[in-house]
This record gives sequence, structure tokens and C-alpha cells, in this order.
Amino acid sequence: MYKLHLILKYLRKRRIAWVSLLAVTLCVTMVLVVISVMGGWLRMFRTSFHGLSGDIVIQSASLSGFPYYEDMIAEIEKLPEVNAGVPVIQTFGLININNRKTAGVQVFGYPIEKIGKVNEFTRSLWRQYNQWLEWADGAPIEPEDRLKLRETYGLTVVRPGMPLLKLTSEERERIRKAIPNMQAKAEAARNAMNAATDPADKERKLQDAEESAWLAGRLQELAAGGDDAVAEANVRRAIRDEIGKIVDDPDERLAPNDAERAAVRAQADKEISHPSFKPFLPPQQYEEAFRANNPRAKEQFVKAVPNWDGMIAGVGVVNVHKDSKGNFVNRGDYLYKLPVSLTVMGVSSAGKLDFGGGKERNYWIVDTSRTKVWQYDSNTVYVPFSVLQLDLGMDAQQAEQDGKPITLPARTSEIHIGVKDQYRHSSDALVAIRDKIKPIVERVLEQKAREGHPFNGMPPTVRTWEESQAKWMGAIEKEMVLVTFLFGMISVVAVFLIFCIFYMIVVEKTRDIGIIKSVGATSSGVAGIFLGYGAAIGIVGAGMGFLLGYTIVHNINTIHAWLGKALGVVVWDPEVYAFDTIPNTLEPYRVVWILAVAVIASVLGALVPAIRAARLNPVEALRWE
Amino acid sequence: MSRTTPKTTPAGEASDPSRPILRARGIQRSFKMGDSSVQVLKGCNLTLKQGEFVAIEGRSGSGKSTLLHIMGALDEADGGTVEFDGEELTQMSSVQRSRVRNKQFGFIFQFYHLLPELNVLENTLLAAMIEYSWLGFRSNRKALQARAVDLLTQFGLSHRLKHRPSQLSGGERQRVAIARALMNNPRVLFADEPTGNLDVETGRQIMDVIEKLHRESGQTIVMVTHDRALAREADRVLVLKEGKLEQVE
Repeated sequence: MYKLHLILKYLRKRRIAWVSLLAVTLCVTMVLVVISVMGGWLRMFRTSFHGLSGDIVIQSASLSGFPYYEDMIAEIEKLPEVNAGVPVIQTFGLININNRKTAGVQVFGYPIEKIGKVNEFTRSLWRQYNQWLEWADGAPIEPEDRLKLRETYGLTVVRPGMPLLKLTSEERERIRKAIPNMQAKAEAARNAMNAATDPADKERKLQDAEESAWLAGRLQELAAGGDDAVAEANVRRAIRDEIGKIVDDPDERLAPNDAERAAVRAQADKEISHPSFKPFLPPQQYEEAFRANNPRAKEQFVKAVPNWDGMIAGVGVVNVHKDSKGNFVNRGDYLYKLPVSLTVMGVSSAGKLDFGGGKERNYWIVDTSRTKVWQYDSNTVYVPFSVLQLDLGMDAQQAEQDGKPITLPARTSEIHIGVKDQYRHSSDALVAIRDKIKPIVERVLEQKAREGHPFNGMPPTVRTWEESQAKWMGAIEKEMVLVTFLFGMISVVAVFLIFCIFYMIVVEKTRDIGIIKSVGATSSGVAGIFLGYGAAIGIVGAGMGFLLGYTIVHNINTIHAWLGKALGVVVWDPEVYAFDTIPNTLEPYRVVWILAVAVIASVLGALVPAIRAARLNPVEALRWE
Repeated sequence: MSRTTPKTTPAGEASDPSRPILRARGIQRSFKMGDSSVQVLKGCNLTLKQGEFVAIEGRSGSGKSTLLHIMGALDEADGGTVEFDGEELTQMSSVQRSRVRNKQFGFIFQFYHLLPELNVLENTLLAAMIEYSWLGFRSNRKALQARAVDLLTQFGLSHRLKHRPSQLSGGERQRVAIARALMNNPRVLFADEPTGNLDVETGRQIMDVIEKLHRESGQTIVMVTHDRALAREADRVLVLKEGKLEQVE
């Protein structure tokens, strides 16, 4: 009884112990935040990797691929656990975007109408999916987009944007009043620019001066413009950011209303259910775009241009990326008018480079894909499976063998298999299904061999998505272990702090220990006081650390945004970490682990002082000054 | 129990006033002083009967406190034995000795030795808190608290229950210490210079309290003091001189 009583008293009355409490709290917070962010990051990676690949992947061991994939898919799709199987060709190519950029790329051939059944690729598309979702979530629809939606997609509910941006007389009045200020500011910015000596500084100040002058000019125009003066969205935003809210917020004005949001959401569902590689602009627009880049092209060639195939580009391939504020740059309709040529090199079934014709092909970009996995987004393009198969010479071909005509079977490089939802998230279930698919692949090849069509290449491998992505996932997992270890080391410091503070307390309390012993406390009882004291520090510290850590992790993106704004610190570069937001979820079992370790560590820190206290001779302790 | 182990004292005998409750024989104790060692106790014999009030007198440094600590199971002798109620303290495990200190002995020290973080009531309850488990204390709490309050009221401290030791005068602190020592109804009360840190007037009051305990409740007391006048209040006075105890007639 006295132990608990004294522990509680000491906890309340000994201020020095609060330092160790603070140390435990901060360590727990730190480890919680790091583990949560890293763990969340890993989870996001898993989700993204999983989203990109089939649940189970049959992969060719060789660049020339493997045949009879249609028979395999037909057999595999008979399995009750399997949703669908889709052939995918993966190869490398050379891309030339409108003669402006040439780059080596990874090329995926997707049968796009079916790919949605095995992976999440279609949900990475911008034009055919995500742009609709953003609008449906209330992102402002710019006036030009409103016009396009009405004209291209026939979404009549979408209000034309321009008239909405007309100034009210009150707004014009307030803009008139703001002009002298803005001019003074532009003047000051110009002077600052002239005074600057450092070239980089001068550059920055020049930009400021130009922006101020531009805005001052626009304000004058608007004030003089009369009743029909229109402030475009970007001008309104500039006015809002520079002068404060003297005009209606353009983002509010352009926010879609409920009917519009419902309309764009319906459009999202419509598009995602029929994803397409087909160029979607009216033919004359493609012709115009092509003619603008190739003014001397022959007319018959120009007429053929609208019939090119469509390509989906990873965002990095066309330089769509997020700036440090998290806004996308370079995304725009101009992408869909860029002629692109893609050159691929086929490998024959005999394993030789096939230099036959037809390996270069022109495409229009019809969409961009942002899978959020940087390795894919930075250098991958997606084209129709049948087109790529043809270009690589992997389609069924007629040939001659010993003077007899034979048909070489069509080949693919991979089959991606999607399983039913209930099996998707269990590694064990996926392994079990993989083990059912393996014999099917072997059986099909054996049967074909019996029919006189042996496949002499290396048999394809069958792996679950985790097995096929093990290299990347493993790297991230190791990184997490390393970081946890490092922070664990730092936490050892906290254990030493507890040790020192408790040692001090024991020395300070020596006489009290003598008193307690003289009244009949046993040595183990005295040790119990200090161990319990340590445990109490651990429990309270871990509890407070949990609360603090929970608060930080939950608001980490807000905190990060504030840090960026107030101090210019951007730790989480969306480009590098592949995700725009910092993961902010705590996993219960990790939390329990961390808290338990904190309590155990606190008890360990108190152990040596407790043993010293227990060993004290009561008479000597009583004499202690 | 008494039939199978004749060595242990039958319960009925405990109340026999002529029977010795505490018996020290040939107690020796020396202390290291640098390289040499000083023998403080050179074979002390003392027999204490139930209900007796014995004073041990001696100059400071004569070893009288050490003798008291050894008899009170706080310290260990280099030689000799201490028997409490027929059992040798020197043969007991440290846990058993702790239990004896808790239940059978009470200590009063010159410097009071109260715990600064606990209030008067909690300090008084300390021995009971140590005796009982958490659950046991909870279930007996009312009775134990009543006993502590009763003791404190006896000593005129009923208005001080929630005060901390630092808010009390020396005499009040010593009275709290006496209440704490009596909490578990000890068989023997050990007092080590109980008035040594107090002025004459307050010291007198404390002596009255101790004397009254002996006179009215028959409390067995061993008191150590350097003050001959105080020692005279006891039934029997022993003088510790050159490491040996001498009876004073």
C-alpha cells in the first residue's frame, strides 16, 4: 500500500521527475510520428504497387515473351477465385514528342477495356477519371473548362464561366481605390530591383517588380473598363492574393454547384467504365494541330492524322508535375494536340532482334496517368495491347518450316490476373491461388507440346504481386527498420536520463529510505517503490506522448503546410516521396508496441537506482545528511 | 503449535510480566575509522521485562544509539545475540526482521524522521500502510484511520492532520513520530534521544507523553539519553561506559 501511496506522492511533489516524464513523452511522440509516417508511407507504396499490378502476375523469363496466353487465360478464368486475366506487354522504346523531347521510355501494352478488372490503372487517368472527380469534389471549374464541357461533352448544366466573372460596380469602385497603393508598390518593387546587387536576388526582385506592374496595369484597365469589365479568374486570384479580399473569391464563384457536381460525377462513372485509347478531339482539331507543326505536310497525310492511335503518358514523360505548393504545372489541353512517335524494337520468338518494318508509329496523347509510383510515372507510356503486339512482331505470324507453312502463335510478355475482392488483401490466399495457377500454365504448355507445338523458351514464372515487387518494397521496409533503429538509439538517451534523475532522487531520499525501512519496509518493498515510480513515469509519459503524437500525426499536413508558409521549410517534397500528402494514420498494434517499450525502458532506467535504494543499510541511511 | 515446537513461546506466556521480552547477550560492535577499528560495544548484556521502562545513559559517542539499533533489529552486531520473545533476531532473515520492526517495535528518533511529502495523518499511518497490502488497507481503512486520528488526538494534534511536517514545530513533529511509532501497537518502543533536539520546556512535554504511556498503558520502553535527569524517570537506569553496561542503583 505504502508503495503506491509514495509513488503517487513522489510523482506529484518531486518536480525533477517531471524532466524524465518530459523525456519519455518526447521520445514516445518522436517515435510515434516517425513510425506512423514511415509506416503510412510504406502502406501507400504497397497500395500503389498493388494497384499497378495484377494480384498475380505470369511473367515471361525472356524478352521474346511466351505463346498460348489466350488458352492460359481461358483456363485460369475458370478458377472460382479469379476475376479476370489480361495479357500485358512490357517493353522499352524511344519516344519523340513533337520533335521537342526524345526519351527512352518503358512501354506497356494494355487491353484497356479489360485492364480495369485486374488493376487500378484506369483510376490513375486524369482526363478520363480524376479531373471529373476533382470537379465533383468542388474544385473550381475555370471559364474555359466550362465552355469545353458544354461544347465537347454536352454537359448543358455547366454554366458558362465568363459572364460570372463580370465586375460589380462596388468591386470596380474598390479596385479604383486600390490603384494608388498598387502603383506605389510597383514603384517600390522596381526600386528594390534596381538596388539589388546579388544576381539571384536581382532576378527574384525583377519578377516581383514585373508582377506588381502587371497587376497595377490590370487594375487600371478594370477601373476604366465600364460596366462590362470582366476580371478573369487568374486576375481575380492575383487581386485577392495581393490586396486582400476586395473582390469575390474567384474560386468560390467558379465552384461547381450541386447539379454540376452531380453531372461531372456521372461523367466520371461513364468514362471509367469505358476507358479508351481513342483520340477524342474532333478530326479537324487534330488536322490543325498537325498542320501547325508541319506546315508543308501533304494533304493526304494530314487527312490520315485523326486516325492515329492514342497513347496514355505517365505524367513525368510530359513534364506534368507538382510544384512545391502541391499544384500541378504543365497539365493542360495542349498535351492532347502533341503528335508523338514511339519506336519499339521487336524480339522474335527465336530471340533475335527483329529489324522488320513498322516499328515506328505515331500517336496522339489522349490522357495522362499518375499512379503515384515515381518509377512508373516518370518514364512509362501506355499504348493499346494489339498495336504494341503488332509492332513488336508478337502477333500470330505465318512462316515456313521445312517447306511447310506454319503459324507462329501470338505472344505476350505478361499475364496479369485479378482475383475476387475477398482474396485480394490476404497474402496467404494469393499464394494459394498462385499455386493453383502454376500447374495450369504448365498444363497448357505441355498440351501444346503434345499437339506438336512445343514452346522451347524458359517457362514463364507465376508470382504474386508482392513477390514481383519485392525489390522495391523490401528497400522501403529496410529503410523503415533503419530509421526506427536510429530513433530507438536516441530513445536510449531517455533511459539514461531517467537513470540519472532517479539516481539523484535516491541519493536525495536516502534518509527517507532509512525511515521507511525503520518502520518495517523490506528491501524489495523499497526497490518496488522506485521501480513502480519508473513504471509510473513510463505510463504517464507514454500516455502523454501518445496524445501529443496522435495530435501531431493527425495534423501533420496542416503543420507541414504552416512550416512551409511561415519558415519556407518543405520537408515532404511530393516529387521525391511520390505522394502529395504525408501519411497521417496510426496503426494500433505499432502504437501498443511503442507504448509498451516506453514503459519497459522507464522501468529499466529506474532499475539500478532501485537496487541501490534496496541495499541501503537503514542506520546509515538515517544518519545521511 | 505449542505441542509440536516446544522451543517457541506459548502465546499465554507473552503476558507474563516477569518473563523477559528482549534479551541482549554479549553484544559487540566495532566501527572502522580509517585504517584502525574502534570497538564501541564490548559485550553488553541487557534483559528487558514486559512493561519495563529502561533508560540507557551515556556520553555522546559511547555507542548507546548503536546498541539501541542492534536491539531494535535495525543494525547487526559483530558478536553476541539478541532474543526477542524467545527468538533470536540475529538468526532471522531480513524479511522477518522487517516484519518484527513493523509489528513489534516502534522507533522514536532525535531528529523525528518524518517523511516530508506525507502529511501528519499519512506519516502516522505509515507502519499500517507497510503492514497491509493495498486491498487489505482499503478494507481496514476506516479502523486504521480512526486509530491514527485517535493517537494524534491523544497527543493534541487533531487540528494538524492535514499539515505537512515542515509546517509543524519540533515538539509537534516529535509527537507525530511517537504516534507513528505506536500505530501498530508495538511490544517495545525504542526512543533514541527523544528530547535531544528540543528546548527544555518542549522536551519536558515529550517526556511526559512517554512516561504516561508507560504508566497508563504499561508500554515497554527502551530509551537512550545523555541526560542523567531524564534517565532518572525510568524504572531502571543503565550506564554505557567503555563499551559495557553498568547498572545504576
